[in-house]
Amino acid sequence: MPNDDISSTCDRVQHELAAFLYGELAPDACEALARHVGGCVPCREELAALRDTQRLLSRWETPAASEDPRLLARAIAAQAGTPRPVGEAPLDAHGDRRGRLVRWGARVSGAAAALLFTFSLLNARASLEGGRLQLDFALPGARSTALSASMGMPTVALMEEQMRAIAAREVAARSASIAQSQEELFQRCSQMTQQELLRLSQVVDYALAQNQRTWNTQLTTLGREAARTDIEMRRALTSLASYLPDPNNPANR
Amino acid sequence: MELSDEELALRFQNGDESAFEAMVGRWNEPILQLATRLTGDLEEAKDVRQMALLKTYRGLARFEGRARFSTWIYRVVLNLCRDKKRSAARAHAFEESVREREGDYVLEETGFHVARDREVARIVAQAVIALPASEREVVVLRHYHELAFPAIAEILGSPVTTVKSRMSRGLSLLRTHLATLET
Repeated sequence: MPNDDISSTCDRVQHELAAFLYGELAPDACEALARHVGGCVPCREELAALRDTQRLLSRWETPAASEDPRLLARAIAAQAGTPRPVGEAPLDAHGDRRGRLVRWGARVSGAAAALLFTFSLLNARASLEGGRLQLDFALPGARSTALSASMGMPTVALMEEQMRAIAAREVAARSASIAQSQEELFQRCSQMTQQELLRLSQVVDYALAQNQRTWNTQLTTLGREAARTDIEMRRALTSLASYLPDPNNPANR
Repeated sequence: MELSDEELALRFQNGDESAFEAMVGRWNEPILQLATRLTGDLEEAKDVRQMALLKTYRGLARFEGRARFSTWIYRVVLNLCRDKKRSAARAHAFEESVREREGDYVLEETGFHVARDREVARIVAQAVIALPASEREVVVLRHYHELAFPAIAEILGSPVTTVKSRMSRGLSLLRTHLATLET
């Protein structure tokens, strides 16, 4: 019957709508579907409704991961225990008895590694704070929390504690590195300044000496010029004097 | 040129620890998003991510590349989320209230500034989380992770036709749940 044909076509098309919406329908099937939807109101409405649903799904956004992947990777490696386990059975959720035994072994070694890791963190913190390398068990609560957490359950809280500790150690190490760099830079600048001042003073001394020599030369030249001018003036005056009447001659009185 | 997951796995097997850091950088976000959308709870999702990365760290030494790494890691996350859901179902009979609280919690940190957008997103999240697990997994992998049906079929170990049917059913259920909302 024609109605049955239409109904079966609609069923098939509606079954393919999801694949169509997500671009996973073969081109020829796409064309056939588009032709059918063009002439079938219920299928067209169904397609429009599913498209709305598809748009609505995109309204749900999840929070972005805020952790530094590098620190996260280090915390995972620390929790897994280093060096890496060799020949360990897969840690799937449905392992056999041997797998479970190996997993227990891994947990014990993991806990031991986490403990060592925590001690290493304590060491690092102590050395950074006061230059003391010994373990101090009268440490603030945050550290004792890290120790007890590492012995208890490997949860997100432990991860975060480890990451915080790693981050603190990184920050402290980088701060120390920056301080050292600053000190070196300051010393280098200081050395450079001293050398530069020395060089400048030598330049000034040389310039002063040069000027002095120049002035001396010019003074000498000027002195000679002045002496020569003086002699010439004296000669001129003497010459002029010869033209004047002799005041001692009675005839000129 | 960016190394493939398989190349990074090989480097890690040869003792290059930085290869694992690169893998975490690449997979941290997808794992957290997938786990958040499958469990509906950010804290549980972080727990799943930690376990998945731990399994990756331990499993990479034996990764032989028979399946693609992406298939393997998605399987790990799905299994962990299924276990979480099972244990949650055993622990409580307050499924509805917990689900609502989970939805609110997830949306608390999504950064929606407009109240109506928040409400729409909350309703969508609840509708997705309320889907049957088999449909939810397919919808999340297809819509949010943009995996093709054959890839999803490989991850789930199911025929492609089954995956398409689940997607179709999932969308249809969502359409009913979300009929009152405007896009």
